[in-house]
Amino acid sequence: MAEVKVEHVWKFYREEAGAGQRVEAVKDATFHCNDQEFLCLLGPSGCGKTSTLRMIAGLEHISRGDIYINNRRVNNLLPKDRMLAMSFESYALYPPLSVYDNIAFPLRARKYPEQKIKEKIALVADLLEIGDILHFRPAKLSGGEQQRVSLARALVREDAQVTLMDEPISHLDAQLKAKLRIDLKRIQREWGLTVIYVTHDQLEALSMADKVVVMNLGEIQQVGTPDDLYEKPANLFVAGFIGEPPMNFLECVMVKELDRVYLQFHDFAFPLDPQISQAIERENQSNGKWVIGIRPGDIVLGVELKGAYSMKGTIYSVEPLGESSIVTVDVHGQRVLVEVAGTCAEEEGRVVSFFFRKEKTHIFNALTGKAIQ
Amino acid sequence: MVELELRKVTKKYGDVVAVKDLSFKTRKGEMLVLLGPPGAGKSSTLKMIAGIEEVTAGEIVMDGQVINHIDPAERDVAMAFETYALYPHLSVFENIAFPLRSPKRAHVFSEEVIKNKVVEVAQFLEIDMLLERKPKELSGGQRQRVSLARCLVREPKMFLLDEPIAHLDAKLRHRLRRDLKRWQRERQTTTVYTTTDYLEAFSVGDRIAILNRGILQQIGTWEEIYNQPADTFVGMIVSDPPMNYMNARIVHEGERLFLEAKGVLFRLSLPVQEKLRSMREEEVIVGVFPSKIALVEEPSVVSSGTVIDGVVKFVELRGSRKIAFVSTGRDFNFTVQLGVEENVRPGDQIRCLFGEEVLQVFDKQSRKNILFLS
Amino acid sequence: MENNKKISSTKLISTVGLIILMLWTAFPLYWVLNMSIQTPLDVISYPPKFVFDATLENYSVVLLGRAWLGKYETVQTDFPRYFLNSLIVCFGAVGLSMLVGVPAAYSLARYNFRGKENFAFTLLSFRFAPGLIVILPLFVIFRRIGIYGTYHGMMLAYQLITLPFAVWLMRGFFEDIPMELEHAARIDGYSWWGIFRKVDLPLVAPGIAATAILSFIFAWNEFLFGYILSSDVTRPVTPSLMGFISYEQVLWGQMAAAAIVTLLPSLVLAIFIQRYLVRGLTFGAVKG
Repeated sequence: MAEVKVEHVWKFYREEAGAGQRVEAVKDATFHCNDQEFLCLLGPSGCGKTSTLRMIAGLEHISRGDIYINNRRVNNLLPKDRMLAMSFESYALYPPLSVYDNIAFPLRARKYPEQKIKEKIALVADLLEIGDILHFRPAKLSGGEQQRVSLARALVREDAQVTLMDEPISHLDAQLKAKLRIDLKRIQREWGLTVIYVTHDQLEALSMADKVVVMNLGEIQQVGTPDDLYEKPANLFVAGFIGEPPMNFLECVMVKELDRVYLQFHDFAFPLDPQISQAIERENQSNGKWVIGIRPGDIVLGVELKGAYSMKGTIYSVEPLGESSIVTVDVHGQRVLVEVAGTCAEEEGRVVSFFFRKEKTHIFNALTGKAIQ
Repeated sequence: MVELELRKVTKKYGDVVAVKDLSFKTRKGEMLVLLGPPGAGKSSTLKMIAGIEEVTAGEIVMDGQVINHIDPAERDVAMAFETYALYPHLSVFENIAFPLRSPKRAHVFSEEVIKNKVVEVAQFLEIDMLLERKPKELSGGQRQRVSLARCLVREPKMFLLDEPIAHLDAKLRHRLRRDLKRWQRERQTTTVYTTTDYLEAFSVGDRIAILNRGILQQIGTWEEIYNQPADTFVGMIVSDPPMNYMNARIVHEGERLFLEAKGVLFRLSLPVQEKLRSMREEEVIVGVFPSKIALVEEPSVVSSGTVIDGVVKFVELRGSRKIAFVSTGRDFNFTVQLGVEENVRPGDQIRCLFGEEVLQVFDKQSRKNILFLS
Repeated sequence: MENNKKISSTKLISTVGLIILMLWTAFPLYWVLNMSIQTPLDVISYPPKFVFDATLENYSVVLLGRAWLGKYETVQTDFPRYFLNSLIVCFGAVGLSMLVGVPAAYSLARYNFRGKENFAFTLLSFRFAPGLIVILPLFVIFRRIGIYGTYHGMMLAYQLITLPFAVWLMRGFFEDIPMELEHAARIDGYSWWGIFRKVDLPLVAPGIAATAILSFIFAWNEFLFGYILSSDVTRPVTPSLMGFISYEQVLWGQMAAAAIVTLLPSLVLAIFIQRYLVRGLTFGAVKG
């Protein structure tokens, strides 16, 4: 049983040169990781996700705020007393020890009997497919193998209340990544582990996490399930960061005509439903500028949808991707991506209409970036 | 527009064979993509074409002339390095201008022409605001674009692009995947391009050559590769999640042939039956892309193909699509790709249709595709 | 709060430790400086004097090359001349080392040839060998071929000190330049010489400067070769300090003043060199 609470946590670094200047790596982060939950800290490099993880691990001092593990404040506990296991991006294997001894290291430190150690290592090694390299030294291994050994060392600790992982599979090639995503998720669920996992790869977060904390520039942007993030992004940053191909954004101006509110992009006007137009009118600090976001997969090409928004443009390119195609449509210089299932017979230079449903449309305040829900 | 040909090219580093008996021929003005996992020999091949790695055996031929022993500076090819290889003491502008100032071209371009060319390519790659900076002041993605710019600024006989957009963020990668192709097509410059990403390969390549451990597995357009994967490796690398494979046995029932795998009897189309009839072995491997398995609602009226029931073990959300991991309970598991709107949860019973036309059959020993063996 | 206290107490301990270490290393230097501004009586007084009337007499004797009149003899050291000798010999020796060493280092870094590592190690081993082993044969040879006591003879002898060092250091700098930069430049249309000039040299320039300065300091501080292989006319500054030991007495004050002046070029260069001894000459060239 373990749950982690991060309450109003800040991390400052003093800047070397500037007198008294401080860099705020993490700003007022608050989130909870429930027992047996797989939580992802997701964001681009420098967003503060690794600092947050290192504060939970006790490897960095908490500048302000509190961290609780099982309702016990751990700010002043040493890392070894927090009952954590951690796997590092930079492997951090002990070079003079064999792979077996590396994995056994945390168990021996806790005085496990050798027989038990052997059983546990066999189990993890089988899972991560490192059974035949157990007697090698780390220097002999490829990057992918080292990464898996590092993972094994974290997973072998069943006494750990929380397992922390810092980009554990980011160095691996695509095939192995895909395999480990599934394996990690399965292990976490079968063993009932509580995992806090740091990554910059939205795909890893979407595919493994129960809950995702999206960070940017030290601030939490949104906390939610993968479905939430994909379907109801809280702001422009989350909308643009989650999903591939990325969401299309159209910068629109609000127009009011006979009590009806429209968002206008060049000569296309999108009438809004009453409750949305009310919400928009309440927020008047955006100078009437709004951004419409549509996912490439939510756009239909050529076939008219009743009651959906429609636009027209010239086909700029068609990219075949095997099971699907990406069609880029040029609308007044703005490139709109459309994801089409299967092969696309459209030709470049043709003028096409495309449609998207109102309920699949995301609307954001152009100044604050906040979504209208 | 040149035509490049590799004839039985081999590259060894000591005892390690990086490229083995590689032969292919580009068409004039074509974009040929070398696709393969890290260590497949893609970079070594490019470096041999560029002339900075020696060819251990075989010939590299450009427009009918063997160029094995021609100095890189004389080959007139431009290359973007996977490791960027920027000149750290020069500004971004000077890095891009560097090839234009080489002794060969020094008197061809005036300062003004150089400036125009550099600015044009910098704008194309969205680095025009960084021209005064030094490489160390750039992020990884920006460095990669400078390296690409230094290559594109020239008008060489060939472009060699080594994973040119691998380290860019998603938005830019999508844009450049599309616009690089366009840039290349407008100039009609023969290009060899490497990547580990099959989507990128399909998107930019006129043809794709798939490499594994230094050996060419298949070469063709994306449609040829996707519809007729030459072997099990190709099926694995041009799909994510990889193609589903299962061991199967040929079963004769009167005149008709079936494939039996883990107690499931797969129905086959007539041409496939014909192909298999001449087989001497009984054991084969059946392969199906996860994207080609369909969900069916009811016990229903399926006139062709094979219906398999299973339990969803696990669902992976991937943005616009979902991957379901299905178990039939008979030690027979497979993955299915679904639209994001399909509401499938772990524990659900689902019914999947394996159409006759989506089955690929591979030889068990050679792992080659029996249906398209030439 | 507890954390902050802990940090400040460890900081205090380390600061005190550093101060003790600094006093330990700096005291001899301070004492020489003291001696150089004391009168002969103050120098030899016991217990040692920390407070005294400072005098610049020693410096004026040394710098102007004035004579010191003793009871039985006159000591006159032509210090400015020796100082100039040192400059000539050291600049010559370092210049020669760079001229020969840069190409040598480049080829060791970039080309594979038979016996490369043996050659490199043999070169370095000159640096391990005590000078006394080679000094006698050198002395004899120099006499034979008539370069004993000449500037160019000494420059040649000094190569034993500067060249191995320069080659080893610069080989490292050249090896730090990724091969890919040269590959890129070759594809960009440059010849070997063009690449060396446009890519390699600008990148190792700080390294060459650092190496030259360090070699200069080593050459400047050299004692044995200068002592044995020079004539009265070409004597460098280090052995010349021996001149302050006279038959009658040791001229401590003047010797200290001369030592301080001798120290100055090294000191200035050492401060200068810090700018170049920054790591990562080629940072930003390649990924990762």
